[in-house]
Amino acid sequence: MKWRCALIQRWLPAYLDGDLPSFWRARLGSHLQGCPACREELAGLREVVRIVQAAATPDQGPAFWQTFHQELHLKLAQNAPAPEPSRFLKLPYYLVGAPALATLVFWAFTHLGQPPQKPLLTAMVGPEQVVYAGMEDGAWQNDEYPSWDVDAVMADLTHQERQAVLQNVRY
Amino acid sequence: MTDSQLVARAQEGDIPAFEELVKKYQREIYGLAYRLVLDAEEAKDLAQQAFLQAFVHIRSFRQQAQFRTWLFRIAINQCYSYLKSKKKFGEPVDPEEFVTVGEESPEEDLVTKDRRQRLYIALERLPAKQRAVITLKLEQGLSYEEIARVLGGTTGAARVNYCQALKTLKKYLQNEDEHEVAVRSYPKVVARISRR
Ligand SMILES: [Zn+2]
Repeated sequence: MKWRCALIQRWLPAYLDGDLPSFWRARLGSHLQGCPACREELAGLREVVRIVQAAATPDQGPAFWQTFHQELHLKLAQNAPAPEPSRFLKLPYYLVGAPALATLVFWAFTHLGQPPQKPLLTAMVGPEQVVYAGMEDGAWQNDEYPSWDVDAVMADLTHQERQAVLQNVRY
Repeated sequence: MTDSQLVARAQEGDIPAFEELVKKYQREIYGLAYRLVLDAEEAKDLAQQAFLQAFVHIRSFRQQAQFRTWLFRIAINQCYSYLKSKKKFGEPVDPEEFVTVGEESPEEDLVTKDRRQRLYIALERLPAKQRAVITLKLEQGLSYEEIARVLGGTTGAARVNYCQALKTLKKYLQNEDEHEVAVRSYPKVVARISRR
């Protein structure tokens, strides 16, 4: 086989389904016009595709799928993930740290007379050190990890939740 | 209801919503598993296992992604693990059972049966990844970009993989000598296919 034919034949399967960059498609097309050997190879590949598609997995029929569903239903019911924690229940993950820290920094600011040089949390806890509960076991989606921005968190709460938060951090 | 609406409900633990998704994709997932493990009973277990895994991890699914390709990925991983463990523990072979899929259907003539049998023997000889690529392309009709999303790697690598797989399959199917060797050295697949 000529080296050019070997190169062309590498891409013939993709040429068949048309999912090939246009440069290659044009190159293969013009080679095929003048090369009976590659045309034969292409016809052979087309036949293989036909055989595979003609021998699709036979349908199993309604009785099979009924059993399939019954068995799967039991497995699903036994393995249903625990319900998502409610908004209110999510609070402690960040409330444990953030507002308490805010109060501490406020105390430091008023008593020592020195404003903190860095934003609150990065001064004390590098962001890479923060580990959120539930992060490892997939309880949270990435974009759902509780925010450490205290103002944003507080603004996002209902009046009732805000009262509960303030109650918790008051001493 | 759209996939993303059903997924959103399933993420809240709604089993009937998830079962709607199962009904929508069960044939594809079962067909994929069947092509990969070439065993009807195992394919059923693996398809159920894939759906179960998808349900258990449904909350980690991002709505921007395509649920179908995510499901394919889970199913393929299940099949790979199965094939790996089977390789490790071996499997008893019964060459006496020499029957192919579809034998029970009277409308399938001998020529079709023979062709199907040859195809399965040839497929068995392909590495699992090439079998997966052929099935995803020719039966599920995925683009190379989608195949890359399911199997990992780049779109270009998926294209190269498919081209190699189809050329190898052609070689196994068309060479009559190879076929004879295949029948002698791969009685396992024929035995397993018969347990349908
Ligand atoms: Zn040529």
